[in-house]
Amino acid sequence: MSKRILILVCVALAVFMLQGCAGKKTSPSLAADTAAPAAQNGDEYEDNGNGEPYPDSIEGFNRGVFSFNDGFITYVFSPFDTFYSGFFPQDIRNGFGNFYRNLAYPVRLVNALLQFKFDKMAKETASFALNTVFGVGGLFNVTRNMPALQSSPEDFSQTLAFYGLGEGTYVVLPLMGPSSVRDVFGIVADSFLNPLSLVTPDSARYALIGHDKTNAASAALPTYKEIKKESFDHYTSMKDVFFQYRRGLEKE
Amino acid sequence: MKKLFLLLFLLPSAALALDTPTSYIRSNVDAVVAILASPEYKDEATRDAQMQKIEGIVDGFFDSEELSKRSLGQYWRTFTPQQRDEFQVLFLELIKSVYLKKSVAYNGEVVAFNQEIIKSDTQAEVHTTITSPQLNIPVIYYMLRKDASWKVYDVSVENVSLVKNYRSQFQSILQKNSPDQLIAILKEKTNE
Repeated sequence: MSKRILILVCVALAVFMLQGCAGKKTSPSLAADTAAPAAQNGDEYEDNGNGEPYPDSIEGFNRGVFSFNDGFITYVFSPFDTFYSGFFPQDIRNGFGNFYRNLAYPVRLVNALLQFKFDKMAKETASFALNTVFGVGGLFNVTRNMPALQSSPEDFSQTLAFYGLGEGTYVVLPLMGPSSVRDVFGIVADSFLNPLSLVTPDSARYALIGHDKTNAASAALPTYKEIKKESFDHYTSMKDVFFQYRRGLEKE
Repeated sequence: MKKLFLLLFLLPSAALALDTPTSYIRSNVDAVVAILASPEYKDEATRDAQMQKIEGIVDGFFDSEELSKRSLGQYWRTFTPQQRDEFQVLFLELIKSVYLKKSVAYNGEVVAFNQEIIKSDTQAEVHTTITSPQLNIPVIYYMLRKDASWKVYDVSVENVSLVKNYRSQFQSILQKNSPDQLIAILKEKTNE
């Protein structure tokens, strides 16, 4: 049953992806008349010198989900977080975050391998060993202040990018927020590499995955509120943050 | 030989030009952190005076023209000189308020200087990391030198450039609104 759903999701995503490609084809003509001013700006700015730099071919749908998510965050998650953050002090929440991050080491390792980034594999392995042994199973991030071991996390979406797959269109997922078609594939693939997926029984697995996501969302909530407050156009600002951040990771 | 030393003393502007991008960022960041950490401003009542002092430093930190030009992209050309001036003042005001709100949250963070990339005589990047007990945040300052001193024209946090982010928003606004309307929106935001 669950396999059938997965296939269905994949087919739906493939359709989105094609739309994303179709959307891309039209952009050069759009960019043509604005290409000159883009060149005047510094070279690091030429990539989004045109009017609509980020692929968003299902904008109507995305905006709908985005406002649903915003309502959910404001009226459901935010009050819940007051309770959650009140119950678990900052240090404990950081500990949870460190633990889940450390546990997801196979995701980063395998994706670094798939991209032949051997230095990253070494850094990730050393960090994992030190944090597991000296950081009480990963609750403490003891390697955080070791510059030689810092490495931006690899994931399957970046692996797909490495092999030349485009990001597809922007997709705002219910509850999970900004993503791209390629990222959705990446998230599904990476979930199989996460040791949490091996936990039995099912109820314990869902509880742990749910807690991981809740804890991460709680940590990101202040930033979300900040972006909302400082932006003129919340939807556009979030889309821009998403693409800048993801494209930045791809380059590292 | 003595004459040479004398000459060096008489050339303060030349000495200014020797300011490296890193030393420019470092001296400004140090000055702000010193004010934030100073026991003089421990009391809540002195908060305004403290913010005013920081504002004085932030004022000269950015190149407001470059900041505005880049945040408007191709729309900069559609602005009249008056609109440009007005926009420039308001946008700098906004960036300053964002910066000041961030500094209110200061809690003993330390800034490490990792790398300085000199792209040309007039363009450079300074890569830093802000370290707090919870996390490390990579911050990059993009700098230009027009006259004697380096100035910042963009800041990126976790690979997200401030100017690019505002440009995406301004472009989406300007597709449907006039420059004057954008200026009005900006005015409203800075008055909040």
